[in-house]
Amino acid sequence: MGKRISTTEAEQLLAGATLAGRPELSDLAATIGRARAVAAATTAPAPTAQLLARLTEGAPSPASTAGDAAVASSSITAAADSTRAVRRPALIEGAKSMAEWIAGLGLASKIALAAGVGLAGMTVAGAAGAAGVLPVPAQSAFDTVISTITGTEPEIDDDPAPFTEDESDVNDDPAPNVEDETDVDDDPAPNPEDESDVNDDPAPYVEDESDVNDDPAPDVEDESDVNDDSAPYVEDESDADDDAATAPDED
Amino acid sequence: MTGSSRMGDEIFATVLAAAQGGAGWAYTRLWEEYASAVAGFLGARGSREPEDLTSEVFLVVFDRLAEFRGDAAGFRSFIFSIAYRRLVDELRMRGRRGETVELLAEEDPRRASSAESEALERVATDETMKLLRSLSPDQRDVMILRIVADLTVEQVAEVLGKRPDAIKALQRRALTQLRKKMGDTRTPVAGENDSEK
Repeated sequence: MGKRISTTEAEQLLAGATLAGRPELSDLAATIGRARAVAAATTAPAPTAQLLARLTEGAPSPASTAGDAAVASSSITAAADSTRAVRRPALIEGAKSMAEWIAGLGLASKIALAAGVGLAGMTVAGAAGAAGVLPVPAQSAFDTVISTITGTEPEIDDDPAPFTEDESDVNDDPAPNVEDETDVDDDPAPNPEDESDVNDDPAPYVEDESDVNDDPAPDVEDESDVNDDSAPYVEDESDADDDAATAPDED
Repeated sequence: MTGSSRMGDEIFATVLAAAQGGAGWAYTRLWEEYASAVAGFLGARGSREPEDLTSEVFLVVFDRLAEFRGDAAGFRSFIFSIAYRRLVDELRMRGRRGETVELLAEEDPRRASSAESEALERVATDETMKLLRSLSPDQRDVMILRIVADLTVEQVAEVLGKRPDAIKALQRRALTQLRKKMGDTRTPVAGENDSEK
């Protein structure tokens, strides 16, 4: 065994330095040096959401603003720019940006946004209901609502494959009513009369119908969720969803 | 730069003042400066989720910034003191839940937790990991705080609540132990230690 390690030698070893005249410690020094190098090269971990909020917003007190103003020197401002390099989960970042955007809206804009979101949901549900593709309980409830609003009874179609028939009907129609079509396109609240017009859409609904009917317990919310999915049915529905979703923005 | 800050004393003072005033950008600078060392220390000492615990440590640090007075070296001790206490809390909590108590089991390398192994692999070579795991808890605390956290003897003494002389003795014994372990696991180079045998 070698001679005792002095305090000075210990300090040198812990710094990863090789000691002259102590070749028996060279491996130890090299090992510590590698460990120090790896530790020094390690980057900061991703902060949790709670800490990220603190890093972004500062302390939840008025002192934050004063602190920002007091130290806005050029060197520190440059250093502050590097704070953007902190890794943030993309989802948190996106949600935060959305929340900030909404928070920055005026009251009227927020009301309009809420109305738009509601309208989008209603339009999706309305399109599905008007198309008659909802499952029996949901379709029944939809028809009740429509009849209450419009004062008309929905057409009861005993045909197990209504949309194929409707499509053929439309196609057989030698002179489709152009005015009616434009009305349907502009109308955000479909009614039973629009049902045949919806079937003017070049044929996606046969597949949709079977998909929806297979759903054991669908409802409007579920369908909107399904529209986010990449399943085949969704693509068809997403057309309606996309149309509806663009309405608030355009407004 | 051992035990101090890469940003320099003058900038550190400015950043600290801004952080004590609650500025988010100053919090971020402190996070960037110290978080990797804190995470490395926590991982190497057996935290199951060192990254999350590092965030918790910094939330405490930011909450207690107003009570700190000192320079960059003192601030490093301040951060690691909080980190060490949080680590002890986590280990005790795991012990109460019936999980492996790292502080009691660590002397047996066969019982070292996988999280600890993973953390050590991130901050050092496999060889270093095995060597550090072979040390006593006190020795390992000192060595990790010196090597991974880059603290001075005085800072380690402050973090662990011991006298500097005790830290020096611990690190000297730890290094002697490491040298012995390395000698046991390596084929000696011909004539390397002849003069000392």
